[in-house]
Amino acid sequence: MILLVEDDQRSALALQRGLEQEGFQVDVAFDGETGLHLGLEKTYDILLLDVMLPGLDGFTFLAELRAKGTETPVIFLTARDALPDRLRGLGLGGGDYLVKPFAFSELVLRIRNLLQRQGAAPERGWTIADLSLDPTRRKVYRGGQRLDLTAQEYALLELLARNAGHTVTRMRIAETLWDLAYDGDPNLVDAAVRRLRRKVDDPFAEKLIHTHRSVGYRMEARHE
Amino acid sequence: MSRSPSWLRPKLSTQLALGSVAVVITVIWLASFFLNDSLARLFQHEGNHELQRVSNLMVSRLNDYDWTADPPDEPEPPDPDEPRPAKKAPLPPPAPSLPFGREVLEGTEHVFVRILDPEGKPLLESEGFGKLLPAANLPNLGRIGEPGWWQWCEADGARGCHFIINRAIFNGGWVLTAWDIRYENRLLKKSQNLLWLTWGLATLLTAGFVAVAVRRQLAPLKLLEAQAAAIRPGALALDLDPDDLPRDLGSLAENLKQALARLEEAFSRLTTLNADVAHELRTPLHGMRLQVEGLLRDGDASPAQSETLEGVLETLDHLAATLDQMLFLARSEDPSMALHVEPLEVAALLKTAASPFESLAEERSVSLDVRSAGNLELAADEKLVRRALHNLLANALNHAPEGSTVTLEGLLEADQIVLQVRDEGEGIPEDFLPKLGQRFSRPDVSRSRASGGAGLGLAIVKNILRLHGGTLAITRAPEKGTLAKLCFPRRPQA
Repeated sequence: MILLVEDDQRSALALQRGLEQEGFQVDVAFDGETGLHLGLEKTYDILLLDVMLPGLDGFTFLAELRAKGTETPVIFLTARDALPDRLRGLGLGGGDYLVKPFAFSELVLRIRNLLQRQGAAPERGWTIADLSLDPTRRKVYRGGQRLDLTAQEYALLELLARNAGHTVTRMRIAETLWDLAYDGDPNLVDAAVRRLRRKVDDPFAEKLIHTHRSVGYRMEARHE
Repeated sequence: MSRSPSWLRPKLSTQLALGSVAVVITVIWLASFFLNDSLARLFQHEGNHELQRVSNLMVSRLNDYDWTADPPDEPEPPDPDEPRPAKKAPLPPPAPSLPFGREVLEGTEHVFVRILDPEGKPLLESEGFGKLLPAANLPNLGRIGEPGWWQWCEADGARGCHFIINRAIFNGGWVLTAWDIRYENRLLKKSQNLLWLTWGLATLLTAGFVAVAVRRQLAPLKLLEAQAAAIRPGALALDLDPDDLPRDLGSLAENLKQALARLEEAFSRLTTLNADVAHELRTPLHGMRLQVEGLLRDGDASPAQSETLEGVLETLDHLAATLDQMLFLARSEDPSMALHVEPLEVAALLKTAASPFESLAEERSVSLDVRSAGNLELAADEKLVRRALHNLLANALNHAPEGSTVTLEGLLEADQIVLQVRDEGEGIPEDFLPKLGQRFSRPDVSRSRASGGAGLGLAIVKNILRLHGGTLAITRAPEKGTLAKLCFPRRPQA
């Protein structure tokens, strides 16, 4: 169950619809007062909070919520460049923040990560179709054959495998591989994925890395 | 216009101190001079007056005696030219015995008196006079027949004059009276020495006092100076109470404070404006993006429509990236932008900066050569420097022909740490070089747009360098291509 507090109705409704399609239950509040009311009344798994809310800013919102002992993790949605330090200081409860405009898939990914982090046990490797990754020894096998990957290629593959079945945005890839939080040039990520594909997908009949056009990449076994 | 040398522009405190010391010294010197001179005049006046009195007394006493036994027509020369020829012919015989005794000198003990006959031969004199002024020296006192005033000085005049001498005529000859002024001269000398001493002491005292006073007076100025030196963007304040300062400096400080407050306000307005612009533009972009993504997810669109929608998404992303760059550019214009400066190992920094380009370079058969002088360290904000390098590398890779090399190098040049990116492309047209780094300026508009640049990249690099006190230099490389140098001062500026 997710609470979305966002004063821009267009974005709020689009987000709500998208998240519901992804199978989440979403309550929406268009202003801080209503949001706070809901947040105190019900128990949510995640709060999606716009920082600049009419009447009640994100800081006050979170402070009141935390004062009442609510530890729900928060993902701040901000149109500013960065989160104000005082908000950080307040603690996001293992949450995060996203600068607008962000890709919807990115938000889904973060929500999923947040929910997993809370419950799921650490994974022991990943297997997608005939591809398997051994994270402790950093080894990759496909069809019983060991693939020779560079460190960067391995990191990219692990990122995709970890989120198998979900789109990983270009922004997430650039951030994970190179700690790049800027530059809209999609060429770098695309080139890195093409290189990985040459080793992981090209020699094999079944393709595992799929393009989610203008958003990112997704790894999954698509059995016909 | 060249500045005049520093010795021509002495410190304010020096000027003040020297000026007041000069005035004080001059005044004291003039006063001492005047005092000494008056004292000398007084002594002289008194001496002359007393000598005149004794001389008159002697003449009147001597005239009381009967000198008529001698030729009665003894002339009493009223005019100075007459007496000599008149006396030469009828010389009276010297009186064998004087008609007076020593009692005639009574009451004149404080001066020397010598009575002479018309020939200049001494008849009677005060005791010791001969020793002081031997009679043989008399002719030196001008023409014998003339009454008048003389001074008797040492032969070389070095030790000053010792006597003033008066010569008067009485019926039977001449009376010389002499006043010993050695005592007065000694007094004068003493007083003069004393005055010199006073003058010197006063000068020293004044100089000391003035120096201390001036320093004390200028102390608030020093304080102001120190505070002004500490002013920088982000610290636009004077920690001074104008009421603690002298009135004139107080108003200066007050004005300075007000000017700084206005600056501060302008800065914060700029920051707020930036944040507002960011909010106003990003929110609608965000709404649009989510809606387009929603449409694509629904899968109701035809393949052609999907392609259009994907194009819209890319454009939105490009818009958002450009907006990011503009906002960053605006923020980096503000010199108070906080930097997280830390020591960075240049070799590692360059490797990290180059790694995003590995795949792209390989794809284009461009080799990426990263090298650095050993153990080079740079104190800088890592994120910002990497962003600058990123922009330069993206440019270089975009212009590197197949099979060429892009070099990223760290080196030490004079007292600068230089991070440079060199490509072997066709290079930037000569006439475009001066325009580099201006916003939205690109040498080849169509191609750069295709590669995603908005022409803000170099302006951003420039600002990042400026925040670090460094410079960006872009030139045509010696052989071919472009050489972009990020020059950082070796010691980071505070």
